[in-house]
Amino acid sequence: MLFINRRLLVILLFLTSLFTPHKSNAESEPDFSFSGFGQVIGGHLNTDQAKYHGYSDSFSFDQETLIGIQADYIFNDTFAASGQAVGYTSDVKQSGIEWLFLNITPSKRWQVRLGRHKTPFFNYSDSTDVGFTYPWITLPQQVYNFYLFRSFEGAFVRYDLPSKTMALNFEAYWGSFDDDYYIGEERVDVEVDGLSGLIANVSVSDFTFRASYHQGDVKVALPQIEQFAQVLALNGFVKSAQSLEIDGQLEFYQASANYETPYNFVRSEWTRVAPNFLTVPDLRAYYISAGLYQYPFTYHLTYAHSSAKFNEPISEIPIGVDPQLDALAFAYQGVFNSLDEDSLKSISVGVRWDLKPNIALKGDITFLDGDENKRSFFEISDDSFDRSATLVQFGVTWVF
Amino acid sequence: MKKVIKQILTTTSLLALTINLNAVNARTDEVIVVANVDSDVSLTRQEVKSLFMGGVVVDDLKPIALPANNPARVVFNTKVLGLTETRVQSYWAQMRFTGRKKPPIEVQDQLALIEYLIETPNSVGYLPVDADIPEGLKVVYEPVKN
Repeated sequence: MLFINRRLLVILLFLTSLFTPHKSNAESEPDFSFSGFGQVIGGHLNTDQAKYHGYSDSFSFDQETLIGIQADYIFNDTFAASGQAVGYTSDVKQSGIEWLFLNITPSKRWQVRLGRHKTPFFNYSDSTDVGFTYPWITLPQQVYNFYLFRSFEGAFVRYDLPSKTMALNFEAYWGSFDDDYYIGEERVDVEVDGLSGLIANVSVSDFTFRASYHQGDVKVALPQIEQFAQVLALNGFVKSAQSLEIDGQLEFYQASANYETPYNFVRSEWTRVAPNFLTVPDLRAYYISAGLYQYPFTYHLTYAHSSAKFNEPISEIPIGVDPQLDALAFAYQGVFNSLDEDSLKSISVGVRWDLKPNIALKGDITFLDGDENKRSFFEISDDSFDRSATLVQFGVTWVF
Repeated sequence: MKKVIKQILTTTSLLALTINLNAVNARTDEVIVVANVDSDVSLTRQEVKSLFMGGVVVDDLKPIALPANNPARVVFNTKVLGLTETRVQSYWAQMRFTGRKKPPIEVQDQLALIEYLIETPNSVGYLPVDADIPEGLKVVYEPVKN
């Protein structure tokens, strides 16, 4: 019932934005303002052996349809407050306040934000919900998957450096995260302390570059694995027990280069998620997208790739000495064998039609080709599935 | 006294502009960037681009834009920003909904832009290349002549 209400709300808001003139930044900005964004996305996967990004062989509008509302209040030239709430039709995403912060701008060059923020790991990490900001229907999942904690509480600083030859700015943030998130469909408690990041953005002529580094001390509570780790520790295999914990530093590296003219574009981004614990794979991913602008249409062709690799487990438990130890070693190895790896190649073609300055229709076809021995971002229901499938999506995205 | 002189200048400039409006709209294949500044200011294309995309320049300038369907804006987007209107809109959506920046203030049309520029010190906007530049405004960027 709640789903129907959410869908209705999304449709009503879309119709409102369709018949309302596009809101520009008018001559004098009010102290208090509302704005927002939304999208209605439908998709179909051509297999009954697996799901991908929630899509299956029955046509679904529930996976990525959403509505977002933002409120901004300006106290004076220096202080302002902003908050954003998003409602999803998908039941694996938590609707609610995405970010809420006090915005301090002591000068045009400096911006300081205090409060709850979206984590700006990669190019679109803090605007994944705003489909209007990118040409694809779904961001390349190899880079923008749900493994990453999406928000943090703390401080964010931006500095814009004036230059005659380039646009240059630096961003830095520090904070912590303590919330639940999803690994597949399993809800997991995650704590991240000392989360921090440095980002540099450079724009020269038709090129823009972004490079960033992020890190945090991550602790994930997985009760089933913790119980087994205790058994290992009680038997004296402390290193093996520790190797099962998701407790340690997680690093993120990112670099992107974009080329943009009024006629065509190339967008590319490379990322690496590097854990210093064994139960999470080292994930390297990238995408490259080339496109044409033929107003009001935008066409793109995108190739994306990810490669996940686990480090070797600890060889501490002797084998062939005692049947009970063999069973323990077998169970320990079994934990690693059951860990999922997401190695996937994909090619997407798509079109975006900017119907109005604030409304765009989109259609994408994505050909997915995963590693047959790995999960490859699929939720597999039939083991004979060859990790190849085609995802067809279309939808409408808007801002108001 | 200064205020009265400025008001007279504004009124006469606007009158002259209203009379010449047809001529002003005649050529829109290039744009110039004008500002209400006392000192000599000269901006590079990159600085104009930075300014209108939410960045900063050495001089304390405030960008003012025309609406999305305005011909001068289309030329400005294409030849100075190097972006389509679609891309400009999606860029500002990203800036706004990540809490970073807000787009420049928009005025209704060219006449309103000139009025705003004359009345607002340090404001900067773009006009068709052959537009009459009213008293009090200076050209801070013009395209390279072939």
